[in-house]
Amino acid sequence: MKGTVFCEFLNMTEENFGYKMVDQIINQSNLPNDGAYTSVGTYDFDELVSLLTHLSQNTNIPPNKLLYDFGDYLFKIFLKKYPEMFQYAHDGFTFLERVPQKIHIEVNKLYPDAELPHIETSIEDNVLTMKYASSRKLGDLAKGLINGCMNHFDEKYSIHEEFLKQDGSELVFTITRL
Amino acid sequence: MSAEDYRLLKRKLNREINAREQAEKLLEEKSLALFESNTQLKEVNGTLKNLLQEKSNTLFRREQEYKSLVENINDIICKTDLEGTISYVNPIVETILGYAPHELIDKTVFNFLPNHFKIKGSLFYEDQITQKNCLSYIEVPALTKENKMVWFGVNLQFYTENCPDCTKKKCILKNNESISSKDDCHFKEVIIVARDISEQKNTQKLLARQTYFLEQNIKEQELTSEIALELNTLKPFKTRVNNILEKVGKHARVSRVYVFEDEEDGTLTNNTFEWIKPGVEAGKNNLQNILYNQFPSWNRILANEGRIYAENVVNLPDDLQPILKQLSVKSIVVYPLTIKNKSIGFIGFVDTTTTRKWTKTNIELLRTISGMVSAAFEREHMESSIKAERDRANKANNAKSEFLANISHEIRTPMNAILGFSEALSLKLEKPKDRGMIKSVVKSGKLLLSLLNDILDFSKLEAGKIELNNDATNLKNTILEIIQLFSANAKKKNIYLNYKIDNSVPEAILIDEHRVKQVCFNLVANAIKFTHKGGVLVDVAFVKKDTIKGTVYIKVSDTGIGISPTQTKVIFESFRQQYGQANRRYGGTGLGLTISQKLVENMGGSIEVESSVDVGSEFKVTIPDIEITENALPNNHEELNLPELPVFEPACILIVDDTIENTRILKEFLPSNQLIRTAATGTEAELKCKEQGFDLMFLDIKLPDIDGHQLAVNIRKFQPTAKIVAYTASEINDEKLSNQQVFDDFLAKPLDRKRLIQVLNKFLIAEKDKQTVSPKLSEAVKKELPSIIEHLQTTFLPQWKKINGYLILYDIKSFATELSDYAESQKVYLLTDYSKNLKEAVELINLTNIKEHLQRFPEIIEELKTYL
Repeated sequence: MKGTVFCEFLNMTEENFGYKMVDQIINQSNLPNDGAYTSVGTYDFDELVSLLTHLSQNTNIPPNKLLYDFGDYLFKIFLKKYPEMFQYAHDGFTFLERVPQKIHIEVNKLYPDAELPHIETSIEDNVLTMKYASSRKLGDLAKGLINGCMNHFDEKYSIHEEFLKQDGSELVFTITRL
Repeated sequence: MSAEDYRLLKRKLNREINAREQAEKLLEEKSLALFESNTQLKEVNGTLKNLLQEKSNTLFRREQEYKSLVENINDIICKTDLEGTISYVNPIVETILGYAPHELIDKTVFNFLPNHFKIKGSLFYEDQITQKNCLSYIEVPALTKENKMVWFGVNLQFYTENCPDCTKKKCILKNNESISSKDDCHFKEVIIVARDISEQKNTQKLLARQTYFLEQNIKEQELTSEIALELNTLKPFKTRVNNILEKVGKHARVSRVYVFEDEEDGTLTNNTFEWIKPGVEAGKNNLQNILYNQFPSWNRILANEGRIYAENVVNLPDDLQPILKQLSVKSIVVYPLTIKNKSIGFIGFVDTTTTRKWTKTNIELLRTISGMVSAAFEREHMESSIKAERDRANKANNAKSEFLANISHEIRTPMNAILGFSEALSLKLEKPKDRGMIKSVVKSGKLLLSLLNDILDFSKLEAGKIELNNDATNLKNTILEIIQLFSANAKKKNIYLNYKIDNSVPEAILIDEHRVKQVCFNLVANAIKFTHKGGVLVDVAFVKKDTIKGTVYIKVSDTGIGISPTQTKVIFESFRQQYGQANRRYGGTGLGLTISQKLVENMGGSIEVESSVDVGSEFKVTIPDIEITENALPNNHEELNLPELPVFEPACILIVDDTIENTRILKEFLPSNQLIRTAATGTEAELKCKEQGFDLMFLDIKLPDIDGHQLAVNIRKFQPTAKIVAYTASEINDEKLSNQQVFDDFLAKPLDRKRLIQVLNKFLIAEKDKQTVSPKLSEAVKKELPSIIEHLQTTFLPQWKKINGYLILYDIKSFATELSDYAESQKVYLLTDYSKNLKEAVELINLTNIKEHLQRFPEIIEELKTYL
């Protein structure tokens, strides 16, 4: 997993719970690099899982809530770091629809070794259907990103998720604009 | 800051330092990788530069090559402006035209064309431009510095460089490409590529000349073969000659072709054939009975030089001038016509329009054709003499045939007496020795008669006098008769005589039975004569063409001595017998096959023979278009075999014949209870007819005072109901005897008893059987009947079953004899009669009767049973 994600995750933790919490989960997770992450590096996904689990234990907040918040947070970071990606999008649906064709392709150009989830989208009137599939099972992170996106375009919406696979490796979001 | 906070901060900083170090390391790796790919790019760049250099080197080299190609090429390459002014020409021009390239610069290309091509050349140039079309190729001659003509094959190409009006650097208008398609380009220059094709041109000319000669040659050959064909057609000679003269005249393009034929003594000559070109005056009629002494040098030149030949006739001797002038001859070729080296005239070819030089081949052709015409005349002369010869021979042959016919007729009259009396005598003689002698006389007489008949038939066939008498005929019976006739002969020679009659043979066909029988008789007689082991097979079939007609096939094959291929050709010729066929051994007139063949041919058929020596022969008779008809009249087989004269009610009979023997024989044969009167002349006969009525009359045809026909007509006037029979030695059919209006029937001499009985049966009333029918079975027999029937059923019936349907005469005979003996012993007369009849039929080989009787046997048993 790309180093950016680790950095941002730790940034969010520091922002919300203070560096003490960051230090604590790093120590608890017993990491090989002692929590020294750089955005240009690539690290094992299990490390993120370990950090997240300890954060949840320490804060008593469920991991999916933490992931959702991280998604929301990450979207704002993206917005700040890669403004050119939002150049042609004028509402939430057009942006979300472009994720698989435009954004993931651009990401792949920069990081050929990035392991991106498989996303399919379709729009009918006010409803956008997005299929998510990834062995990482980060549906909640995706949901948080969607939230960040819709909020960014200042759009009200309702979201419904349906598991296609019980373990969460495949699911469908149905997003309805209100 | 607490110690805890300090440690925490320290850890955070450490971590940040660590992360940065990691990032630095990673970035260094990345930049290294970048540097490497940059080096690779540099290398590629270097290679590309090298390639470019190489390319431009190649281009330079190629340019050099092109240049040297253009300089050294054998074609002239020349650049002009649109008016034809030369701006460049390659050096080869000096070798071809003799001008150095610099001499040609600024000159116009058309200057080098011969005068009559100058305009054509410039027009061609102009055309290319105005019509905006590039012609691919023209052929023009050009003049060298020495004023010699050289032929060029020329290609033009419109060309421009750095044209201001189009974007391309260079435009070339290719062959057949229209300028209009490149309207943008302003073509300013023309490139001429000219190849020296003089040699090619010369070869072409030569070839054309040779082709012309070849064609001429072929035409001449065609002409000669046409003439040869014409000569061999069946058209009249005059037509053939006229056609030939026309053909030659047209081919040689002369005004007149003529043939002169000399009179016998050679002093006069006549124009007999002439062909004239349309528009030329005919001369034939004015050229009859021309005296040679008016122009003596004509024949002298023909004799000395073998021809008369003058391109211009004024060069011929003076004595010929008047006649040549009269016919306005300007030029002439004449060849003599000869038969066996003797001149019979001449053939001439004349031009009346102009003097002319005859080509060698033309002269040769005329000579050949003269020879052919000469040969045709020779053949015609020979043919007419052969025709005359043949007519003479035919005449002689006809006279011979007539003589033979007359002689034969004369011989038949005494033969009638010899045979008739001998036969009558044989009935009266009792001593077996005497009977044997008289039998020999009859046999020899009959043989003589058959020879005579052959000769008569032959002479009639030769004279074309045979007429066919087609009648409803049962072919099957006819063949069976022949088989019966020869079965004894075959048996005697210990060979088989089999027959096969196909089911396809109809019950009755329209054919001359007498003649068919004659043909079969000859073929079977020959086959038996020449076969010493094995046997003879007669195979008859009929193939229907439609519902009405069909073809009769009769095949007679034997396993005899055979005929060699050379002999098969002559066996059908008159009086010829197979070579080496010693007359002493085989006998015969040698006419049999000739007659058979002529008869079959008369019937519209043919005889073919296939044979190989010591294997056998096969004669195949094919008669097509034979009509199928209603059933034949009941055949007279049975009557033929009737041995005894039937009893007739008394009748009055008149015999008219000037030869006493003939009268006596007839009287001898007639039943004794008849009232018979005789007359020797017509007058006497008429007188007797006036005295009394007659039921039946026999009239000779050749009476001393009146013709038999006339007599018959006379008698009918006062005896309309009398039956009149012609009694004649002449062949019946060629007289008008078959004309039933005059005669009711006919009787041939020598008298045939069976035939006489037939005639009597026809005209006399048979006396009723006066015997009352006796009871067939006595009472004594009736008592024995059960055992008799029993015996018949157990002994005779199984025997009968074996023989019935097989017609094995020997078995039938023994069956009949045994049955007769048994019937006699038991006194069963019904059975006696039956067995007697059967025995008789077997002895007479009357197949129809044998079959009939034999089949009746079970009925006889049934009949016997009715008496139980």
